Amino acid sequence: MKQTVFLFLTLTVASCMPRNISESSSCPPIYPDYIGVTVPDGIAPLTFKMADSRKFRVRTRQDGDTLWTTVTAWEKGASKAVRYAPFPIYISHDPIDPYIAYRLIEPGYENWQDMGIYQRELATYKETPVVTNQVNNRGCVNCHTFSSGNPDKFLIHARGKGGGTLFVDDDKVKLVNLTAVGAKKQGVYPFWHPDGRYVAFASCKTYQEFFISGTQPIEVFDLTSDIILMDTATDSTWCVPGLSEKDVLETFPTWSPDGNTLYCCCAQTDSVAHDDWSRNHYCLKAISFRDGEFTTEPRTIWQQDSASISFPRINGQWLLFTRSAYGTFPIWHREADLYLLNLTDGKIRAVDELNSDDTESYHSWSSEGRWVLFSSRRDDGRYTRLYIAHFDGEGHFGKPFMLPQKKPEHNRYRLKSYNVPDFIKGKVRNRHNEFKKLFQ
Amino acid sequence: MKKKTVQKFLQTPACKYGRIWNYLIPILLTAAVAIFTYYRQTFTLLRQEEIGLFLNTPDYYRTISMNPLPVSHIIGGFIVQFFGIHPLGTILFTTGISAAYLISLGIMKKIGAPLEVICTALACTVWWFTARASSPATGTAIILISALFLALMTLLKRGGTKKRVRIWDTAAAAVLIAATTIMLSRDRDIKEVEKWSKIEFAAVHRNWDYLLKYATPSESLKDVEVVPWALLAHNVKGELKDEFGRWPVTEEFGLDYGTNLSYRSALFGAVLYRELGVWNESIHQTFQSGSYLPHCTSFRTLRMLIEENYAAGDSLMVVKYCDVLEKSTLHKNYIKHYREHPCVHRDSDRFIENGSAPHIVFTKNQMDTMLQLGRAGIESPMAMERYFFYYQLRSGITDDEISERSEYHQ
Repeated sequence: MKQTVFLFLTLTVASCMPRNISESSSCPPIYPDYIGVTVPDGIAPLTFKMADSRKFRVRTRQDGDTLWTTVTAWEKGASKAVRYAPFPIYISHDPIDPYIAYRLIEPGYENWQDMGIYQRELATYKETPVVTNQVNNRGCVNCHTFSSGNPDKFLIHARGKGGGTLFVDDDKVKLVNLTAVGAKKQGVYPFWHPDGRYVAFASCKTYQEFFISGTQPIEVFDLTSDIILMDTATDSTWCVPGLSEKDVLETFPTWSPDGNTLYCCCAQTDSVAHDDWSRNHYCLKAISFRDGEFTTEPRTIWQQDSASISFPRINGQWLLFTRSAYGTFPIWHREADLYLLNLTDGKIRAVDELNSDDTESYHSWSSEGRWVLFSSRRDDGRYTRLYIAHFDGEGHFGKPFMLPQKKPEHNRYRLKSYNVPDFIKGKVRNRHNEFKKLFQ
Repeated sequence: MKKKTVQKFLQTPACKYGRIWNYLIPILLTAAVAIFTYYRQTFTLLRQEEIGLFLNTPDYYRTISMNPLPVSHIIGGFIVQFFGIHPLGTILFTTGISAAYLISLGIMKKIGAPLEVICTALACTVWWFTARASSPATGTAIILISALFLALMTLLKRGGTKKRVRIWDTAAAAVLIAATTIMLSRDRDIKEVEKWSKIEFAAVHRNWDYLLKYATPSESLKDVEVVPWALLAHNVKGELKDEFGRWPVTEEFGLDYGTNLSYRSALFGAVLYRELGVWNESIHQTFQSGSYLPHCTSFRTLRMLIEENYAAGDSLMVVKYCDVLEKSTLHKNYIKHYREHPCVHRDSDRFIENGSAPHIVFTKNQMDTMLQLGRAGIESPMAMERYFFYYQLRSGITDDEISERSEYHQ
């Protein structure tokens, strides 16, 4: 709380503010939009500026867990200033993981130069690399996945020369070529079983097509995809029975928090085979899992003829997913929004508190389930930015806030997109040299 | 620097041939570098600005800090912005080489061996490497390290010996300067870079006549890669039909770059699709070209993205890239135009397309793509002409005819 108060004091610009002040009943136009957001106690100071770049002064007043902020703004050299109506920032004491991890990458879709997975401490602005593609000769690094948010247990894919999947477990680091073991299939979209032993992957043959006209530039789709399971104790992999059918595309595996159910998204292959992606609608399926074995046939949880589901993520009875008009790659779908499914009664609703006119896509729950981190293109339509929102446990979210930066313009100037954001419970230690040795 | 100080630094004891003799070596060096740079590396410097980047943003500094010589990269990046104003670029470049001479002279004085010939040789070496480098960062690093060395020696306060500049010193230095100038003039790499800088610059700035001045059929015999650029220029000018037969089309390079992937092939794609009015692909190819550059982008990339997004009606992206370029030093006027004349935002159709629009996509078959443009509502005479020549190349011209054509040109 102290930090949050401190932030606004530091923002107070003690420059020559005009004495002639008029009152406005509206809230100030600020960037990023922090008006009415709910933030975790101890988050890095929420710096902002006037959206129209005017000079401004901030006054704050604390009322319980609400911080009332009054902004007075004026043009440089003007004789009159405008005092806007105070706006609230709600402070929540619900715990949030101290770090988040994400990949930073240009929003192109074929080549790259610098790419890396980074971690950010939420209480500060400090961003440090977990791994960059300097370790694997400028290849691709992706699909970072932590075992229940554990910073000492995670995996990362590294493509390119000598590539494979890096498994980190405390001091042990190993590079496994998934195509050389067990089912001999490559794996993407990994998800750790809560017990930390098994990892479910989708194994996809992914293609992309580029649209000649229109404002959606690209469609990414799978021609085949199956779910495979890896036992990290034995480094063996095998296809999940019922989720590796030839005429069905299965992807985005997700474990329930108790580890007894594996969810995934499935679609028929015929629509893709006939180049009619708009009929390519993924549904949500689930299969039971006990003691290393799948015990039931897959059952359909949710299906719609006019929509597709991606990235199911479960928090108790709540399943948050991305819904798009079709397909399996919602980041290029402007209509993609977040939806919440109540697993106890099957009710679904669009999460309007989080959604915007632009793409909302990859998301993850904090380990305590009270915060959700998601990516959105609402800022400019192309560069994905991160937002965090509070969850009340009853199916409602607070207004999301953009990941705060030391300078509010940082998100405008950054020419990289945030990719696959995830909460982590602590700082990942620097293993640059260890990783580099594996690729030599 | 006051006159007396200058005299002292340049070996003040007056030479028997007159005081001007003391200045002759630096004058010769400066003149040679300035003239050579101005006339033989005009577009090389312009290109360095276009593929360079300097932004006062945290991400820029972070990327720079990953380089082995971050300070020289920052200074080099800062300097390179001014290369876009050609005379200024020449002045800066020449100043750098002259500084290398003066610094080495200072070091020589400190160690008591004021040998102008060695200083000239060192300066010529810096010139040689900097003229051939893709950015001034290496030259900046050499000059910075030398200057640091000189500063350290100055701190030691070790006195130097004073001696007159002898005639043979000047003569030997003049020979060195002349030899370096001749070697640089004859250097194939420098000529090649200058030629491609001209072609790229002309294509990006739509100066098709200028492009065709350098991408000629005789040049294509030495470097077949100029063919796609020249054919594109003819295509844009609507004279492809008349000019096509003059060019040696190979499997690799014809109307396009085939399967070649490089910075230049991506830039070609960006320019081609810009001229065709296919903004999705033009933007995509511009991104692709950026991915070959150290910061994944450059001044040229950002300016092209602004222009392409402006034409495509994506006002949000125009504003974003303007914001980014505003963090450089010399783009205030460039941005002003886009700020004062915002584009008409074309945005509302995006949602509808996702569900209902026909999927008209690029294929790896360029001929087919030209045909698809019409289906996608892009009526382009350029595309029609290209389609015709793709068709002709694939069905009308046999391998024998292609080889005959090549032989004819040779």
